[in-house]
Amino acid sequence: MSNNQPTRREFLQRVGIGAAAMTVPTVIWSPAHAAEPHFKIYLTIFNNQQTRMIWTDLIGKNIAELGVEVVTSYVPPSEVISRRANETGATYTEGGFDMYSERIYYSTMMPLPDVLFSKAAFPPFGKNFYRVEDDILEQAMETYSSSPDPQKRAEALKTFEHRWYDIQPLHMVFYPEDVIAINPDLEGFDATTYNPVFFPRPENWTITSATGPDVSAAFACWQPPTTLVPMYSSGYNESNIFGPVYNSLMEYDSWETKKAVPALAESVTASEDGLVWTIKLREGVKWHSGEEFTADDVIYTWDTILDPAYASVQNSPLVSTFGSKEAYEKVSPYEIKVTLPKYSILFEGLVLTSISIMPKHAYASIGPEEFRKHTISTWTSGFTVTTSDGRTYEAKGAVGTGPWIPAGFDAMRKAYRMVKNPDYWKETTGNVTEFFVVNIQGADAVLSALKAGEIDAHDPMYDIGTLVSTIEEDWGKVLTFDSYKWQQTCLNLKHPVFGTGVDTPLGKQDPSRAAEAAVYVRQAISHAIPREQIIKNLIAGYGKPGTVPMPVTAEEYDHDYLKPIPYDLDLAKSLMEKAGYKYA
Amino acid sequence: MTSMNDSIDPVARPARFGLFGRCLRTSMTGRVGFGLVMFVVIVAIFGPLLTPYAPKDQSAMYAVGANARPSADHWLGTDRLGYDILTQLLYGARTALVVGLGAVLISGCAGILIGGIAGYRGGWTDEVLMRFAEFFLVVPIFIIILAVVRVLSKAVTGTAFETMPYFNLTVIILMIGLFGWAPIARMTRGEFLRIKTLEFVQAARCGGQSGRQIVLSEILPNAFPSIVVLIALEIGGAILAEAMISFLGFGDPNAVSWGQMLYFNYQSLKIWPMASLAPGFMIFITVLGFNLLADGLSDAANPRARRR
Repeated sequence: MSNNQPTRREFLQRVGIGAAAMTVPTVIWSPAHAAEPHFKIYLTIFNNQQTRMIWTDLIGKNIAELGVEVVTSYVPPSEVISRRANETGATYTEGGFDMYSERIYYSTMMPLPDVLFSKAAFPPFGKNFYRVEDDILEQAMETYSSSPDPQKRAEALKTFEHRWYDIQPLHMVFYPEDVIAINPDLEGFDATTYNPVFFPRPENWTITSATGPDVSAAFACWQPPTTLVPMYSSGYNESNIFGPVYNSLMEYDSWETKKAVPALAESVTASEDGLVWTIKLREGVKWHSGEEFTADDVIYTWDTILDPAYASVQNSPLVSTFGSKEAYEKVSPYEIKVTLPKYSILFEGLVLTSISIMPKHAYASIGPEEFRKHTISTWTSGFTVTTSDGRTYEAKGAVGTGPWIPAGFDAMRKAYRMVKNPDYWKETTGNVTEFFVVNIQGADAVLSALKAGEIDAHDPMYDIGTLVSTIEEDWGKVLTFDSYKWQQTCLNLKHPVFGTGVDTPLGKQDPSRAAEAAVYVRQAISHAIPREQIIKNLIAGYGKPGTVPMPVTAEEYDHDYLKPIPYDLDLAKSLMEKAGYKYA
Repeated sequence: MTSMNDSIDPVARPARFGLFGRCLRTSMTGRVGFGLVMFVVIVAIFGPLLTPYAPKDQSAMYAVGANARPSADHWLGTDRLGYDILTQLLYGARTALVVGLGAVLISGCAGILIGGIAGYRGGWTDEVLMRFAEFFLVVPIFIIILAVVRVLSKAVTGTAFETMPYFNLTVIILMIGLFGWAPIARMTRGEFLRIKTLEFVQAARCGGQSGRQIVLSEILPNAFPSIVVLIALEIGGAILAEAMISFLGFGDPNAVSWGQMLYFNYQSLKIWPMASLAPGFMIFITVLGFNLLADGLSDAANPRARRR
């Protein structure tokens, strides 16, 4: 061992640990934040979708520019979902939430704001997790949903939009456009999916390059379904699969017009006051089992959903529409009379168009506790259906009247398989005879599958907008559709600063002005959202800046009043000052 | 070289010092590894002086935009979040080193302590401690880390911990450290078992030295060469572990981490590959650096084994 060689200890001291240790302080002590934050927001970000994570984080950083301490965390959606479902409007520190972001829509083509934002929709049973509670909004929603007069409804909706724009209960970030890449040889794909009323309609698809009588097509959606019983879910993952199997009384003719047309109902007529409805059913429609479709099936479906034992997600809107089972009666096998206790827009907007009719002869024997585990929910095995004339039918999943008959879960392809219904009541134009719904996770993966010819189209949830430039013409044709949805940041309106305003300086000084102070803070936050930059940089321009919870392409959207909200931190700070906050 | 052969004569006291020096002199892999590690260290210390941007500066979002190509203002362009890629790489080196060194400081101390006690005491103590170590070897560390990060970040709401900068990152470091000691403990125990029977230790014992003196001045320094190899390997492992946790979306939103850069940018790999490839490259050379260094140290510690 030579003496001039440094010892290990010396070596480490001089260069190794010594040098590396110099880095520690710079990491542990970050630059000091603003002297004293005005208040604190816990911003919980769903960790499942990068684009949204990025823009929500960006919004958080901009809010921090206003002197607010923003505590950001990435969390699984399940955590926010359980936090927001509390019954008291608890803030984050109390076990609830302060702020998060999500994509949302009305689940119907007719705007139904009261389903999301009325006091009646507070959790645990409703979806107004944000606790929007404003007298003018409430009155407008009530007038809109209970008035049979279209003129009155339009005015009420306008009042709703204006009031929302003025007080900004939640912040609409942008209205995304749906971008879908399809097989260039696929014709007849003319609609995006919008659950539960728009799902793939492969009966009208034609694969132009296909030869022979058997033509197969596949559609990708992100997650596996949780249940395939329509009354238990209106989610994309589910309705993409059960949608093609069932029918509703009314359906939408096309995405372009978004007009409701008769489906299982042949005609629907209303009395002048909108209380008494006569539904004439289509005759000659057959269930997949061969049984005739009649009024009994409609009554059975409504009865089942209204029965609390079945715990259907559609129970609440049906209860508020019908009140009870007394509201409807079978007049003849092909006619039903509905007498509403009071006019409700939900009847037209949801009951007629969004509720899939279930077969009484096949499902009536299934008890409430068995429904979710049954083959009709999983499609993983088979069950025997006996028709009224004594024949038997082996179902490999659900039984519907729709254009596609379930053929079970294909374990090899990890896909739900359907075959075309030869006895479908309506004429269809496509050449596809076999249809698969596969689960593929990730935008890159779905485009690879399209390139490899494994799928022909996909759900819009993949948000492939930013990847459009990577799609080549020979394997992918890019289509865009107005999405009818919006991306919003959700606030807890029970929060003492931006919700009730009681903890703002103005609110403390004059409690009668607390709500006004909260409005200033929310307006300030709204001006701190760089909507244009988010659209340009993060969604490749496929969207429009958000203002109020109304699809920007809906005819009800008041373009004259709802101008884009500018990104302006100085303006935001001046609004904060109105709420009593001081800036150096 | 002959002098080194002499220095590990089993009867004589084994060489204690100069492991790094020997590693650098004799092993090419060691030299390359050391060079890579020093590069990362220098980047971590001086890198931030090279960039005008703060680590979380998204101002590009309002100017050149996200996924911008290289320009005079942004030498490597910007990523999907509007961050300057070069700035992220430079600051990410600090996070990587702090994670690597911090985690290994914990696992090293715990491993040497537990392994040392087990190896020196033997008997039941050895049995109990090694079974305990085996438990830590078989638990699925990632799932536990993810769960703990999640639970702790909720549990600290409203407490003083919340104001602690980089709390999540600290938890990740602690967890990687707490679950990484078992291999070091096993190695230390093995070395202690071997060395405590060597003649110079017996000589020290005959000379009247206490158990503590023997462990600290005789056994531990001689066990160190093998342990250092493992420690160098574990630093690389810890950096990779943090990158993986961040890549799963469980990282610290406030820290600049190469794993998180990958997580946010991998989906736009085809749009702007630099944003994913650059952090990937940095993780690669850092982990490679520590692994090669460990390899070189291993060669230097066991020159005979190498030559055979």
